[in-house]
Amino acid sequence: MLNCQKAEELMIDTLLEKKPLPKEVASHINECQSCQVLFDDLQKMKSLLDEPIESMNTPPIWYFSHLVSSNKEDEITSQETILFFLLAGFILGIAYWVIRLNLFGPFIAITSFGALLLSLVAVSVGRETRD
Amino acid sequence: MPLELFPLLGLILLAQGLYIFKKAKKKGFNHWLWGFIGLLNAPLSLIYFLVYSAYKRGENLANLLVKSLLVGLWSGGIMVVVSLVSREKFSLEAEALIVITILGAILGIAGFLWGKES
Repeated sequence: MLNCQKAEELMIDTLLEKKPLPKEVASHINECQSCQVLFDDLQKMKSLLDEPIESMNTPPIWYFSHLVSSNKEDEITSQETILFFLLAGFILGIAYWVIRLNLFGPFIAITSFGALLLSLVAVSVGRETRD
Repeated sequence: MPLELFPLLGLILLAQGLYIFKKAKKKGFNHWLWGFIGLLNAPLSLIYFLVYSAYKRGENLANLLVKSLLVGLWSGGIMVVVSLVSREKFSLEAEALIVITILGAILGIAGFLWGKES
């Protein structure tokens, strides 16, 4: 006749070695309430341990690409550079004619005020999109 | 302003605009808007951009502005001394002294903020 301690050891051994439960242990579990509770707990533990853990612990590949892309510094493209130089040419063309027409003073005042206003716009837009 | 100085002005504006444009793109700001601002004015646009960049980095803005003002006062003071010393040699007028002082103060602030950025 098995006692509870021996049955407990055999239950754990069968769980670890993944063997079928011996008949004498099974009959003891049917008779003993505490061993039945322990057996149920061990069964739950076994089912949890048998679950595939790789899919839970390893994030999907898009997660890594997201991390890489968020840390990557964005460089301006050649197309953007060309467009920027066109914009610069347009503004500097206006500045050239302004200086030629002897309107440099008003031009400085207007551009200073415009830069301040546009900076405030950029700050407010940035706050909306990033914060 | 004499027309002969236009290439220098153009070069300064272009360099500043391109720098702001590239930095704004890297930092994820609205790079077209900041690039346009950078082409409008020098060096105030650079100061605006660098202050905004410092704010986005999480720096203490009040502390930064106080330090910038102190740097500006120092730079302005130095330029006052320099322009007063060289007043007679270059026959500078009072208006030119004010412009040199203000420009020195602004450039000092821009340099200070640029140093913090890099």
